[in-house]
Amino acid sequence: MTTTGHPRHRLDDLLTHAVRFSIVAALDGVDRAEFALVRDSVEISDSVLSKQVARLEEAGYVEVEKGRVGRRPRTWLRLTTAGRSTLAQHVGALQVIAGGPAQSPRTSSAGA
Amino acid sequence: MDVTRAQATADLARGEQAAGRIRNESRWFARYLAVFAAGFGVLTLVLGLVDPLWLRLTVSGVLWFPLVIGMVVWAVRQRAWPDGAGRRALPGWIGTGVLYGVALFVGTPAQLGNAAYWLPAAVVVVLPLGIAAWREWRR
Repeated sequence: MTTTGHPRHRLDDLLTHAVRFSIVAALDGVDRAEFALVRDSVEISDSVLSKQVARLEEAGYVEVEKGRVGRRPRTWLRLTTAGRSTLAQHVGALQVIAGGPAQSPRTSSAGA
Repeated sequence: MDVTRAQATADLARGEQAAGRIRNESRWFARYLAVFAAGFGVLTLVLGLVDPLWLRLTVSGVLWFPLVIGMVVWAVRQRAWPDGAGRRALPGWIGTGVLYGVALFVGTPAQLGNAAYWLPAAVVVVLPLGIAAWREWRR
């Protein structure tokens, strides 16, 4: 991946998928978030989120942690350092393509 | 891959929307700090102003232990944890803890029952954690 030339070269292939981008963006700015909360925030189904999280986990962008709160099983999602860094670069490229600074999910500080 | 200007703008907006929802869900931490700040203030007042000793200890125990247990249970049930919140709040916890200890050390037993000492002392005790809560809320 080159860091010069057209900003599209700095886009991450995995994050060009709208749902995957939304998942990663949603997790930026929090230490961890519950599976159901991410599902509701991104407005997708359990199965779609599971499938996309598996891809992101495989790429090393997201960590999945299973646990319990009382008797209820909970699944937590967390953005990895690599995930934050990739998101920051991807969002930076999107901002350039969009024509300058735009509203973004804590982009300028992502990866810090 | 070719991403148009409109697609890029839409992606950024979508990402911001999802991130905003999760961030809102993580604002509970500011309330958590604020409740503990208030709890420390009330505890300071009770320990300094309530008389006799057995009533002072009973009231403080009845207030403090359920508060701690309730807040811990509430925190564990939250669906999103803010990034770096523990690290950001640490100076507030330390500040309030130290000032609480100093207020009790200086005020007991010399100032017991003296509102002119305990009211300002309670305010000072509340400040570090209260400021941490306020900063967390404004993030």
